[in-house]
Amino acid sequence: MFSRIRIIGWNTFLDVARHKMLVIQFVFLGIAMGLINLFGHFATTPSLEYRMIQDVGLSVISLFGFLIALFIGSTTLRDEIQHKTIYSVLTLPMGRWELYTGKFAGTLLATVVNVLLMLIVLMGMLYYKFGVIWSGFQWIALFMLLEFSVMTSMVLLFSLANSLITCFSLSFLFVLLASMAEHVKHLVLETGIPLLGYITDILYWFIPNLGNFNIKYKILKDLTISYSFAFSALGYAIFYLLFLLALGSYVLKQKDL
Amino acid sequence: MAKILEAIEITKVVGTIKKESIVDKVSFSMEPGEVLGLLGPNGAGKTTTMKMLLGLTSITSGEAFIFGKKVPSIASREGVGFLPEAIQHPDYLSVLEYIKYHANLCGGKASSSDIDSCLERVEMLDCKNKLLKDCSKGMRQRVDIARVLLSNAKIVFLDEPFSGLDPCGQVMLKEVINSLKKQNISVLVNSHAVGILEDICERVFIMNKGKILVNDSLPKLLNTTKYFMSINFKDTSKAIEFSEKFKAQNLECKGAKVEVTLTDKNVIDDLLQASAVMGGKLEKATPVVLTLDQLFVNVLKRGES
Repeated sequence: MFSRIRIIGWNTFLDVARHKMLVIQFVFLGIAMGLINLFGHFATTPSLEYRMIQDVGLSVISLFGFLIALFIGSTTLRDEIQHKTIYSVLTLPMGRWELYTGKFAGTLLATVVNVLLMLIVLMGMLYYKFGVIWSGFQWIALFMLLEFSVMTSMVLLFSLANSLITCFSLSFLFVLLASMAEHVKHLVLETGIPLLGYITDILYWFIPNLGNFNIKYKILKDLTISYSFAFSALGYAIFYLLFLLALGSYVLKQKDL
Repeated sequence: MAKILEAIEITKVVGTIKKESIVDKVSFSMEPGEVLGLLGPNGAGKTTTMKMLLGLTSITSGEAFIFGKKVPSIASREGVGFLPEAIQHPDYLSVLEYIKYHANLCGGKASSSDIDSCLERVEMLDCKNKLLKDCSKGMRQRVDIARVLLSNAKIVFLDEPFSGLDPCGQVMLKEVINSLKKQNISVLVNSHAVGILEDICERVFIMNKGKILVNDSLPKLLNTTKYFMSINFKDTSKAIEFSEKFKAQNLECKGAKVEVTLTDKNVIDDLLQASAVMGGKLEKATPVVLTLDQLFVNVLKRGES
C-alpha cells in the first residue's frame, strides 16, 4: 500500500523535475532575487537592508511556492485523466486514494524541493552580503513545509473540478481566504450583520487558516518560536491535511473516468 | 465451467436533466481462456461497458462480477489487465522505466529477464532504452501490450488494440492473443478490425445504442441455412436454358456455368435432378458462411429497421 504511494509520488516528482516550465520559473526567480537585492539599496542602515531583503525575499518565495504548487497540483491528476494514463493505474488492484495520496506526495515533494532551493538561495544571498548565517532558517523551512502541504492538498482537490479555469479560480480564492482568514473574520464582525457572522464562522472552521503557519513577522522581529507553538501548528496542519486528502480521495472515487 | 466474468443487466445512465442510457441492460459472461469480441459502431457503448467492468465508471444499475468478486472492488481487479485506446504516454519515461513503473505498482517484483521476455514478445527489446516520446504510435501500443503481459492477468481487456499497429504488429498481436488463450487467459477485445476478430474470437457480441443485438459463438452466427451451388454445362445455350427454366430461383448464368444460392432443400433436389437431365455437372455445393463484416452490417441494418 505505502510502496505504491511512494512509487506514484516519486514518479510524479520525476515528471515535474523534467518539466521545462520549472526552468522558466527559475529564470523569473533569478530576476526576482536580483530585484530584491536592488530594493536593499534603498535602506538607510545595513540592519534595515538585511530585514528588507528577508521580508521581500520570503514574500517572493511564498508567491513562487504557491505558483509552483498551483501549476503542479492543478495539472498532475488532470493530465493523467486527459492522457488516459490513469486507466492503466486504476485498473490495478489498488484504491483510488492511493493514487491520490501518491500524487499529493509527489506534488508536495516537488514544491518543497523548489521552495527549499529558493530559501537556500536567499540564505546564501544574506550570507554573501552580510556574512551572517540566518538563524531562523529551520523554522521558516518547517512552517513553509506545513503551509505548502495544506496549500497543495487544496489545489489538488480543486484540480478534480471539470475545467482548469475552475481549478485556478477556486485555488486562488481559497488560498486568499485561507491566508487572510483572521482579517476577514474581524472585518465581518465589525459589520455587525449576524447572518454574515454565522457564514464567516462556518467558513472559518471549514477553510484552513494559513495564517497559523505565517511566522514571517516573528522571524523579522527576531522573536523566539516556542516548541508548543510549532507543535500546535503541526497538529493543525496534519488535521487539515488528512481532512483534505480524505475529501479529495472521496471525490476522485466518485468520479466517472 | 466457472465463469470468470459475469455482467447482469448492467446499465449506465448519463445526464442530470436529460437522462440517457448509454449502456442498457447488458448481460454476458466469459469463461476462462475464452476470447470474446465486442463489436459495434462508434458510440455503441463498448468502451463504457469495459470501463464499467473495470471500475473506472460507475454502474447505474445491474451488477457485475469478475472472479466472483463484485465490481467495482479492489478484489475484482486482481488479475485484470487493461489496454486502453489511444493513451498519451508520459514523454519523460523510457520504455523500460514505463514498464518497470507499472510492474512495481502491480506489487510483483518483475525480474529483468521477465521484462525482457515481454518486450521481446512484442518485438520492442531493442528499443527498451528509447524514450516514449521518440516511439511511434504503433511502438507505444506494443509497449502497452508488453505492460499488460507483464501484469500476469487472468483476464485481459483490450480496447481497440489493433489501431496504430502495422500489419506485422497486427499479426504479432494476434499471436499474442492466441497464446493468451492457450494459457487459459480470457480476452475481451473491443475492435473495429472485424477481419482480425473473425480469426481470433470464439464468440462475439454486437452492440448498438447501448444494447446487445447479437451474442453468440462465431460459427453459429456466421453459418446460415443457405447453400451455394455451381453447375457446369457443356455449352452456354444449355446454361441459359436451365436458367430460364428456374427463373424464379434467381440463378446467375456465367457462360456455361450457373450459380445459385438456395435455402429450400426440396428446390435443391429439383435443381440437381433437372441439371443432370440437361447434362449439367455439379461443380461446387457448399453451405453459405457469412464473413464477420457481413454479419456486422446485417445485424446493424436489422437493428435499425
